[in-house]
Amino acid sequence: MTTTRRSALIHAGSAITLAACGVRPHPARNIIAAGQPAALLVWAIARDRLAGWPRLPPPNALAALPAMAASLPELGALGGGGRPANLEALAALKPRLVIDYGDIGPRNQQLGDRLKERLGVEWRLIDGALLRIPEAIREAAILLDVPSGGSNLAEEAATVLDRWRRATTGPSFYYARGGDGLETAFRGALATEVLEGAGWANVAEGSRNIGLVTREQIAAWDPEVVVTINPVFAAAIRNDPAWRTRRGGRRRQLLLLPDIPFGWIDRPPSVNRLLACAWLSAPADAPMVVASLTRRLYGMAPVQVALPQWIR
Amino acid sequence: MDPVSLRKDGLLPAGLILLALTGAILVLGTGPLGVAPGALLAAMIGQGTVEAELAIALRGPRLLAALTCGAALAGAGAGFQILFRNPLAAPDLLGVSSGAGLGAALALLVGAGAALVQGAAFVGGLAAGALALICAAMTRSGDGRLALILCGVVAGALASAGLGLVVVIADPWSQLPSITYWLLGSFTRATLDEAIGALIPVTLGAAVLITLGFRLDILSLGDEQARSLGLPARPLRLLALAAAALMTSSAVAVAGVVGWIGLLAPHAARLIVGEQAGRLVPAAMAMGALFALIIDRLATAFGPAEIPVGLLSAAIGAPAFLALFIAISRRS
Repeated sequence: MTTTRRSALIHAGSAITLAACGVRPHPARNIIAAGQPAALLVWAIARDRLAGWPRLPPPNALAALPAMAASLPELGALGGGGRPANLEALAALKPRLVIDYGDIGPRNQQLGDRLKERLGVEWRLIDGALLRIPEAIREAAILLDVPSGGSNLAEEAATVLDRWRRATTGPSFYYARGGDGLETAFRGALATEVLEGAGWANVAEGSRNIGLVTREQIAAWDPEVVVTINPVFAAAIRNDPAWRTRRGGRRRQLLLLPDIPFGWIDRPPSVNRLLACAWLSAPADAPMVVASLTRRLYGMAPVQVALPQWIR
Repeated sequence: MDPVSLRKDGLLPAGLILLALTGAILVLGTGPLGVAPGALLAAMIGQGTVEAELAIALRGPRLLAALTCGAALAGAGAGFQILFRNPLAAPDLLGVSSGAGLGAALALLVGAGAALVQGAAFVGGLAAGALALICAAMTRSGDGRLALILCGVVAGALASAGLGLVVVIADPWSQLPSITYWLLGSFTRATLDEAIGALIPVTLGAAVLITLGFRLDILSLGDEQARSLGLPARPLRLLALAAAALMTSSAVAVAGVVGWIGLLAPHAARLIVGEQAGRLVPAAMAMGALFALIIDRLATAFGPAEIPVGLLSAAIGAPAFLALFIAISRRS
């Protein structure tokens, strides 16, 4: 069977599935994002082309995005983590292109090849490396037929990353994740790349991945700053001496990074990380740069720019 | 009972408890902060350095959580094994661990803080246990043991299905790692308040099981035998099961799902103190506490990243259980 005939058959069959799911194909919204990083990339460049979210952002994130964000269906993810997509339902949307954004290793390449074969739709994997965000924006803009739309954002991203790369010194830090803060990203992990690249020293040495540590280990590392994106956790440890007291009795700093609509240093690892790069490279200029980037990335001019908070 | 037997009754479990406490002191003396034992002792009497006080403040809750959870799981496991006359009975027999896992996962899904996660796990565990007990009470199947086991399987399966659903809808970048790590178990999460909070229901449950003592042995013979000896079989069985479920739920709420302790420790204790519930329950609790201490120490022994204690307990517990099984079968 040829790919064209296979596609036709899949489309015909899956239209029924899609109708049953309550999602109707939209002629212009024909770009599928394989995962949430790709969804943010597409959203930043041509949000009217995105067919749906791999994972619908939570209500507080949707409130910080244009109303259109909430009207998009949740389609599920193609590979990676999260709820898997129903391939038939995706095919019924008659997509023109599937964009994946992240690791360009052989595993993702093979996954793309397999899904391209099964869906009968073009699949493009874009390099998700932090320093290649400007190139990724340009590549995606060409794929989305809006080369001019992406050029301004790409230039702004290149400027931000250039300044960020030149930042060389920062405090030692521990990145506290999860409700109890004992989940962390070890040095070299994707989740702390933004901070480490700006000269901040991650005290957690280990697997270059996410892992669990003990409170005593954190005390032994004695970081200058505890970084978190979880306001509940930040409030819980605000006056906790075990977290806030350094060796020798000095007070440890606590930094709460914004997480709405998307995280500043990961969650997901996409173009959203530019906001943290902008703040880390030039905190004084950050309000203006962050406001401009927020408008370009998310399509909303924030009433009040959310910036990292040093919790007393 | 002759004096030698009486002495044996008390001495063997007491020896095991002493062994667990010795292990606790050894564990308290080591850690990444590298504080000398002398400095720790000084800190305990309020004359230590800031660092030594910090070490005590960080190691103490963790140690207490490990001891409490290990003892609770083992005590509950011993209770279940006696009541069901089933050597494979474990604390999760009524679906308590699965229910606690579902409660914690739901709390993590809505972004709750650590204390709320623990509370949700506790409630989830008790709810699953209560569901199994209520369903079993609605049946009229013999002395009810088979009904309890089946209803426990049902409650556990329902909770597991719910947990699977939570895992599927969780955010893979933030919520899913937290849920996964919670389910794999850890003693490091516990604060002093939380460890003490677990100690209270565990002590209550253990007191019930130990006080029931020989009555548990009689209940294990079946309801008819128990009634013929003048015991109100059903209420007593329900009380014992509720106590075991309370202990399990408290432990899982603090430590996450840590398997094998509740299965292994009672068997190991049985080899030393025999079958009588009055000796077996406290001895099993001491063995469970010791086992939990060992796996907790190992969890942090291989670099700064902690190995989840649920993984370690399975990796050590399964071969140890096999070795015990071989030893017991050769002895008999």
